[in-house]
Amino acid sequence: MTNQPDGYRPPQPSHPPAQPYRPGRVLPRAALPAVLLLACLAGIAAIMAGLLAFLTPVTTTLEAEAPQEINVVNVGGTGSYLPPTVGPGGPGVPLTQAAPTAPPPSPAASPVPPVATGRTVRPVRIAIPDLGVSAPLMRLGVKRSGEIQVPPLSRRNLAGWYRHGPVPGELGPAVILGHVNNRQGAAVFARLREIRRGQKIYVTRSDGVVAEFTVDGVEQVSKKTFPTERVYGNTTEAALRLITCGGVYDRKRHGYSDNIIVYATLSNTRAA
Amino acid sequence: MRWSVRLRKIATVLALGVGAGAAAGLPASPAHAEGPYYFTCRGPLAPGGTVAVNISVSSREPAVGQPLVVQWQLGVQSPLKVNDPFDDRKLDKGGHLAVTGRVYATGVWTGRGTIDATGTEFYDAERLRQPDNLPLGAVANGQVIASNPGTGALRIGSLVIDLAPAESVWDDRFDDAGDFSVEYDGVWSANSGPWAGGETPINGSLQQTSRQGDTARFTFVGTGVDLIGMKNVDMSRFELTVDDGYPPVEYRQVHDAYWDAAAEPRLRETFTAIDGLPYGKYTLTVKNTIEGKYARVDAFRVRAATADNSAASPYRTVCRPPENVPLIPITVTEGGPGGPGGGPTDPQEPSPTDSGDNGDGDGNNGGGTPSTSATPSGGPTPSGSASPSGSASPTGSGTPSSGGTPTPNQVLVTTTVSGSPRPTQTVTATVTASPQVRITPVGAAATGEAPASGPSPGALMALGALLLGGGLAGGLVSRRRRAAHAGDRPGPTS
Repeated sequence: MTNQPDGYRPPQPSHPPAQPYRPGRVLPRAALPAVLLLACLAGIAAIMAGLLAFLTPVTTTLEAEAPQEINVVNVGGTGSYLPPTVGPGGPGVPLTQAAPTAPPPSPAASPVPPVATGRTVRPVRIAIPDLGVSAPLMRLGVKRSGEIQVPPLSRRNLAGWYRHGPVPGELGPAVILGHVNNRQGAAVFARLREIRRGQKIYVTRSDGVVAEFTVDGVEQVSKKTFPTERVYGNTTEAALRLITCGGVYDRKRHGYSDNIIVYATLSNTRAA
Repeated sequence: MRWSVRLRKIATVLALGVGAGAAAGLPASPAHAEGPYYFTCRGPLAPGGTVAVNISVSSREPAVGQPLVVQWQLGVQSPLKVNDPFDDRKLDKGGHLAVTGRVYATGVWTGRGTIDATGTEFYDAERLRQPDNLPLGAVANGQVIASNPGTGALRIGSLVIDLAPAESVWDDRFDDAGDFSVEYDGVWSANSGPWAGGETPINGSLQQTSRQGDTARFTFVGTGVDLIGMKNVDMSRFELTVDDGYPPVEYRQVHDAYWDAAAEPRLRETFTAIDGLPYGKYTLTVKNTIEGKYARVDAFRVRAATADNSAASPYRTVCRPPENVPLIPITVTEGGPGGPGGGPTDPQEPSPTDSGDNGDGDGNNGGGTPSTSATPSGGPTPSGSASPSGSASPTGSGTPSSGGTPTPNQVLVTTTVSGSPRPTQTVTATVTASPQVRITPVGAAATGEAPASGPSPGALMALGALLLGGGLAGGLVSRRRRAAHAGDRPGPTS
């Protein structure tokens, strides 16, 4: 039972009057030409960008995250200058290439005598706490072309020890390689360029010895002028070389233009 | 007979003395010498022969960081002779004779504990087959560096001799020789044919299997290897891999031995596996990959572009020192790598490397013998000075030793080998002395890959074309519709 005064009508839901659908009504009439014009301009821009990308050599710069100075490549020209020593690395210090005849950098810490090393001893792990690196090691040889082998690209957190050289901790330059990146992203030595003189590198060996190395210097060298003698030449201490890629990636040559090389000297040893 | 032996020994001693005399005038000449000792050889190249050896060390009191150079002088009366059943087919293209003299360092020394003096010489097939004994040639100096002061000793080890044929063929089955061996895993069987066409396998038979996964493993020493097999209608794909015992595999390739002309099987086909490897010991594995189809192994061809003594050649011969060779005591004194020049040097003239003058008493003298005469100063940077000529050799052998500029890890070595009855032969070589990195890689390291790329240029251009086309088409349609709309509109009523 309802008590409602006469003449009262409940409020009706208000509906807009039905309108026939007209496409031109979705957008204001004046906006359509602007949208079409914008589409044309965007299309032209995309075509231009595509053309530019196609015509220019495609390179990937690793320095995008941490800008660095341009590397000095020319070592033969009279006007070029290459520093006589390997630089210390670190923030604000450009990773330039030292002169071809420059010796390895002087030890940052007092070297300790090499560790007695049996023939079956192998390095099994490398750790660089300052860079957040902790990776297993595989053994590397040389390719048929004579170039040094590298770890498989599919394993990002894997470095490799060059087995035709000394074991880390043994007299001479032990060499460890790691990728800077692969298609999936950063790899084990992605931050190697950030290392600086005085920082520590730890290599665990199969005999339980942990060899502590102190970084002496770091340089970025053109692959065309790789300092073979400085890296692989005989040393009077137990030394370590870390190598990864740097510079720009050239898709046509399928490789980076430079190498980052870290020089370190044995400064302590302990049992694992 | 006894007289001839004695005369030979006298001649050898004289020759060594002459050679040492020639070397004595050189800056790089050793200060202390041991010998001559008569090493007794065992092996295919010298069954029972002896070789006279003089061993010299640059100093018995080197400073810390100062290289200690060990020099070997080998007598010219070589016992080496190529006379074995391999000769006829293994040495047709000559061979590399490699010699390593090893000294063991005990005490204060670092590194692997051995000081190797090495030398390599190539002899062509004609020379190898001459009745004359094969010269041992000269070996380069070895060196070692002490890491801390103290006393240690050097122990004279053996002389290892290898002859690596430049190219040699190994049958499908053979007795192990040196580091060469072959083994078959699976159901391999011998087959001597005959096949249509009348050709026969090498030495009359080959090995074959038709089971998938069966392998033949040929271990060899050299720088390259081929498989010699055949092609036939009953054959198919097989895999060749080469490795040195450690991953990754150096080489892997699949060959197809199918040959559709059943009436013309092809024997003695060469399937090249690999070439240009660093000299060493490797294993070639042949693997049948198709069940029911044959893989056949007739022989293996091994190449050696150079040689060393890291692995045993089929001619491995070892000459051992006599039992009574004394240790060489060494006292390492303090002193930086800056050189012993700052220390109390008491220059000792290089002793003529004669047998008598440095026997036992010399090593223990306290009379201040930190000799600096021979060792290049400056730690790891030998001076590498050119050796002057004009030696004291009665034969008047000059020693022109230019040899270019030594790199920091090289030592300019002048080794003089005096010949008798031939005239004095002088060999000058610049060599790397005991490289810590045994094989130096070529060039840089390829340690990176392109990151995931953005949109490709083609996709960008296609998108642009789509947008541009859509915009233009849309504009056109809109314009036409507007024009049509304007055409339909009724005009002003009159």
